[in-house]
Amino acid sequence: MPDKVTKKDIEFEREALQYTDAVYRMALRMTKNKADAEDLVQETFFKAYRFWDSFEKGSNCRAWLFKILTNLFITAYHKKSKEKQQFAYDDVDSHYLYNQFENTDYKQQLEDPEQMLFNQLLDDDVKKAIEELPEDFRMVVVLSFVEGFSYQEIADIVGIQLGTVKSRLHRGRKLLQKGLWQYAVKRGIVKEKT
Amino acid sequence: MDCKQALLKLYNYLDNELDAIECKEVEEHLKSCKHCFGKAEFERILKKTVQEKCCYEPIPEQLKSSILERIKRIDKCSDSNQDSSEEQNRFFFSAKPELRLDRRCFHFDYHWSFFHFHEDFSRHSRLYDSQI
Repeated sequence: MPDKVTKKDIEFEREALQYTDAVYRMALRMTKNKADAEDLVQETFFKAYRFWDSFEKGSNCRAWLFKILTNLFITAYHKKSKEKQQFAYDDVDSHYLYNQFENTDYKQQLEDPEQMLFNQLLDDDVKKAIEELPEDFRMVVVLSFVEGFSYQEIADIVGIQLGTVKSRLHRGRKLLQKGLWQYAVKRGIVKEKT
Repeated sequence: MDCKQALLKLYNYLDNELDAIECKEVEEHLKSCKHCFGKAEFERILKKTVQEKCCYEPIPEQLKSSILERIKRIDKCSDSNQDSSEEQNRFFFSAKPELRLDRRCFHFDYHWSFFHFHEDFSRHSRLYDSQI
């Protein structure tokens, strides 16, 4: 069978396939394992290709792909995991990590304590802290922190109101800071005052 | 702008969500208040750290090439107006048995949208948008 490369193939490869790393990264954080992430990435590009004609040329292709991925994740994986957790996030302060950090002796000992604290956290600690966030919060945190989407773009991708993006991001931030603090304690980077 | 107002806007500031005037107001406050500046710097470095520690995770080459390959095969099948259920089965029922139920859902979904898409795109465009 001769290889037939269509105009659509060329366009799709140029516009959409440049974002495979970003889509894979997001899929990993959402599904929390490589096997499911790989499936989700394949499904995302498969669907994107099928519906390529509906993609408005010149608009934000990365956001469009993330919208497809998010939708697939919500409809399939979300149901599967039944991960509707109730988190008592209200007892977490804003600026949690900073406040905890201020209460330790660690800060006085070093010249550039913040940088030291963050440098000592492993990549895996940060990834795990993100993955431990409840799904709704995790989604907006990754889209904002890791992918750098604006609040409006996140609202469009996830299909929620702008106000909901802000509140989820705020709560997600607080929980992420709490999680990172726990990893810093676990690693012995900081000692919790008793 | 006092500390309370500045801290309320801090995250929006760090996320580049403030307009030029608000941005300037926050920056003016941060310049004059060591306490808020410390907090802002901490949050800025935190955000940067999370981004840096999560950004390097490239897609496996094998997965990338299998996406390319499958897309090309799908295209051929749709060009010749053949329904490639075998192709899609291979695609959706690939490696992981625990996910098979979900795959089946996608499978039907694709078939459905595929036919309608080709039959009359404009009539179904609204429905089709909501699917995406």
